[in-house]
Amino acid sequence: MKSKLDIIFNIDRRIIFLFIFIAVLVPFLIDFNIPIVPSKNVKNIYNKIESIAANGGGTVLLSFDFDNASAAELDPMARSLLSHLFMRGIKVIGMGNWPNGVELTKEIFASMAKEYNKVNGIDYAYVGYKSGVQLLMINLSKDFQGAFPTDVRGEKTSEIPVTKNIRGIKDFDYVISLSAGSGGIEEWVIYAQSKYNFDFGGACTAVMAPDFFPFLNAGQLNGLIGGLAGAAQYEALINKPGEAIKGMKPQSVAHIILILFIIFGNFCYFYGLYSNKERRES
Amino acid sequence: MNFWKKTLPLTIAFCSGWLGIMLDYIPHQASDATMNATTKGLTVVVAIVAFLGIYSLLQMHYVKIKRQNSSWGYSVMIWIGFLFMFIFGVYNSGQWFWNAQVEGATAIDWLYRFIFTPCQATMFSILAFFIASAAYRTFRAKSIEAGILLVCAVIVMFGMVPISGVVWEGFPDAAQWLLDYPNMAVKRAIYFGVALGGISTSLRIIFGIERSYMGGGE
Repeated sequence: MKSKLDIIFNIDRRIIFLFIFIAVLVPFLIDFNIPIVPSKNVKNIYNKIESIAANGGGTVLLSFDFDNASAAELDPMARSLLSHLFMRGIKVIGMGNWPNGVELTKEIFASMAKEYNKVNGIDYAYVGYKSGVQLLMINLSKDFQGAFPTDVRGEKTSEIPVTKNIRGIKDFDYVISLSAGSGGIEEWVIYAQSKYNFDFGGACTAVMAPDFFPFLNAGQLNGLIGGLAGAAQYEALINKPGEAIKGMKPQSVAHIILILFIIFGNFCYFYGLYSNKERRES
Repeated sequence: MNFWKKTLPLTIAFCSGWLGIMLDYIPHQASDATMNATTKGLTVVVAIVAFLGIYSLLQMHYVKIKRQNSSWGYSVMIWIGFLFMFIFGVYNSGQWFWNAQVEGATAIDWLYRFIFTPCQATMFSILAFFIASAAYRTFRAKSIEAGILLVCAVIVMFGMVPISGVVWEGFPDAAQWLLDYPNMAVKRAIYFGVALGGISTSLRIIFGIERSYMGGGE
């Protein structure tokens, strides 16, 4: 027969699910503030955009390499980056390496453009998705208009005011990939940045962020926004609280619960070892 | 027969491999132009290959439905999902697929927003629950190495959320240090290993030593 301790130690996973559910739900209902301190990697992207604006503006390429599955983390990043770029009067060209992200990106562009009174074709353009990832990156680096002859509306990129002077990747003042997996930051670094040496920043899901530290250290990435926490830091930098800052409360509490479970699990493990040893000795 | 099955594919692989290397390392106008034309052409090939993928997927699920294998109901859902998206995508609100996608509240937009998006978001969000359960059951300090890993994981996990700075302002710095140095060093070593493996595999394919891509029993 199982002892009470055994029952507690072999806790049903549904109870753990319940704890996580409460940890996510309750912080939404209780009002408390957590100070957000931006990290140096997030600040680097912010500073780069500020420096483009200080030099009279320019054009930035945003590569939306994600879809709905990771939108919880990357959608707030995309919105805060676009807010910052639009606030500073920088022109934006969007593209994507993930076919399922096209509709999502169109919606992000439309809502942000409406908020900042930006005009499609003049202040920004979205050229959509094209297959090939690595091949596309090599191709657009040399011949942007050849790689994307039209935008998603079917207008020619050689005639759209914001894209007509873009010949290759070097014509962009900054390139940022918002990446949720393969066909994102890593491919951009390997197939485009390392060859054409342009300024490149990244935004990615939290689970991917540790993969990109070698690129940061080598200077191939000038900055990185990692996960919802990174998005919250960016929102704090541009002083525009949004979904990411709201999400920090449940995420913080859920992390604490998770850590407590890990500590409790280890306590159970060592207690089990100790009691087995005691039993053998007696 | 041997020519079509063996010699020709090996020759194509050899020539394409060397062409890729030369185009990348020779800084000349002709090389640039060839690279442009090649990558553009290959982008089209990749798009065509998608049709093969779709055919393969649908064929596999058709066989499952026909044989009524276990969980064949999911295969039916795949067919239904595909047909719905395909029909409305091709129809494009009356503009058909050869025109740019119609903006606004279209059927495909509705399917995307209210079926595809919630399904994907649900799949991704339930991971949090499974991770919590798995962490509780498996993350044990069974050895010194596992103990070190456990401590590091807890520091990074806690240091990455802003509340850690409220508890102790050194937590975010400690987490950042772990990511900047030990993590970076290990990742760099992995990348080097992968790159060397990639180079050696590429050379084996170019020189015809590695032939598994041609299929068959060799």
